Amino acid sequence: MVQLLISAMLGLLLSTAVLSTVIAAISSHRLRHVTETVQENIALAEYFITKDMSAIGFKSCFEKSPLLINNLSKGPIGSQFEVFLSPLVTKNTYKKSDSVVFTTVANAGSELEGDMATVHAQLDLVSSDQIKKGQEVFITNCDRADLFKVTDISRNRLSHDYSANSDANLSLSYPQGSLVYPLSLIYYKIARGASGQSGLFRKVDGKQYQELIPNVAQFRVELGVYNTQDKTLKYASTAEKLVNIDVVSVRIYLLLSSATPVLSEKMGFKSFTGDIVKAKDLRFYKAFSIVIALRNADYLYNIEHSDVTGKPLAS
Amino acid sequence: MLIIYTILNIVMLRVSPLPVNKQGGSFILLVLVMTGFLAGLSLLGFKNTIQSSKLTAGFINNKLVFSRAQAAMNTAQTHLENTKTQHTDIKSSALSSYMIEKLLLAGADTNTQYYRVTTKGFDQEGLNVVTIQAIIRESDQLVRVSWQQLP
Repeated sequence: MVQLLISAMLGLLLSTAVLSTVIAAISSHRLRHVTETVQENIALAEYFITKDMSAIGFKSCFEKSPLLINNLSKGPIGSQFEVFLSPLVTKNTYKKSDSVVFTTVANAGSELEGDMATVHAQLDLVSSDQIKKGQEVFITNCDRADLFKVTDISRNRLSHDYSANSDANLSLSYPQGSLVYPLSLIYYKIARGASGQSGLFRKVDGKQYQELIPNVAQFRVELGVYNTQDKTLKYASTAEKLVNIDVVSVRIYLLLSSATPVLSEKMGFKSFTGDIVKAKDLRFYKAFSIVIALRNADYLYNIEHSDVTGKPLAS
Repeated sequence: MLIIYTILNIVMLRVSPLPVNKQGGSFILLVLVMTGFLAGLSLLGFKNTIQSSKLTAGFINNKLVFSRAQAAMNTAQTHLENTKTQHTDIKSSALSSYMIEKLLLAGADTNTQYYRVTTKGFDQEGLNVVTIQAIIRESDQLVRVSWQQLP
């Protein structure tokens, strides 16, 4: 009888220990899974945003101010040319977040195979694999530059008719070897995703928005503006009247969360302003901030050449 | 294993013959079930760890490969400083490569020459490749005038 009681007690103790271990393992596994998912989403967002934004301000070998580019295009980039000059940040009421749109060169360029006969002649390229009909294109011979919309492509030959451009004449009969690049307009914003939660969405040119990562509670964008007077860098949510192109970096803030509540008590996270804020629910939150250097900003080249006294702008 | 177990059983029984076993073996059954359960849990954790480390390795590899491409860009620029490229220079190693092309374009100043430098960074497995392209102007000194990452 005593043996039975002892064995029953031992059995109960053992079972309790095993059960508590199992419960702890399950909850730990769930939490780890959530943190890993959030971390992977952060890495994915970082990969896309960095890749897209690093080439903002790309002008190939054209080193003059972008305001000197002969803009002929009636397309989305040409008709709101300020988007070529700097990323445009808009404040939205949804989740008190921002949306951003910018121009970049996502694909490799090509070269003119021969001299243009006239300023309205078609452009014969070495290869036109990366350029599509209807795309806006940047052409330069390093001294002059034009922005126009491609109206037709046939056997590496680009047309730039009056139908999609304000003028069919380019500013110059570009010589052989002139560089031609397809431009892309990229949008980022947060909106309600397929899961019902808000997610980060990305859109390239005229295509549909695609959900890049789910469960994004906030998305904020700040532009790093270089002040030529006191030689300091300040971050502003919107850079007003960007006559001088002095945006040298972009700061992105993302607040990600788990899809479901996983914590036993509400956690605190770092807000956009740097304060610690307590969450409103039991979901796991992770704030993420990244500063992306715009590698085509002239100021950065000056730093590379140890010339920090120079202007960050092309003249 | 089974043969060794049988031999050991026979030997043990001959050396020290035990009285008839009256136990039902329920305890060993319980221990076996528990061990199996815990082993399952450990295996699950092990699988998760492997998966997450693979993902992390992928992201780290990408950054490493990017750094290699960027380092190859600096190497190419140094090569340009030291030697005049006439048409195209290509150099390749196991982890990175670069190609320097002399462009037809020339600036208003006849001393100005432009080069297009394309570099690639690789990882050991050849799964990650990052391609960077820059335009470099050569006049009094070499200046990188544009930068882009290719898909």
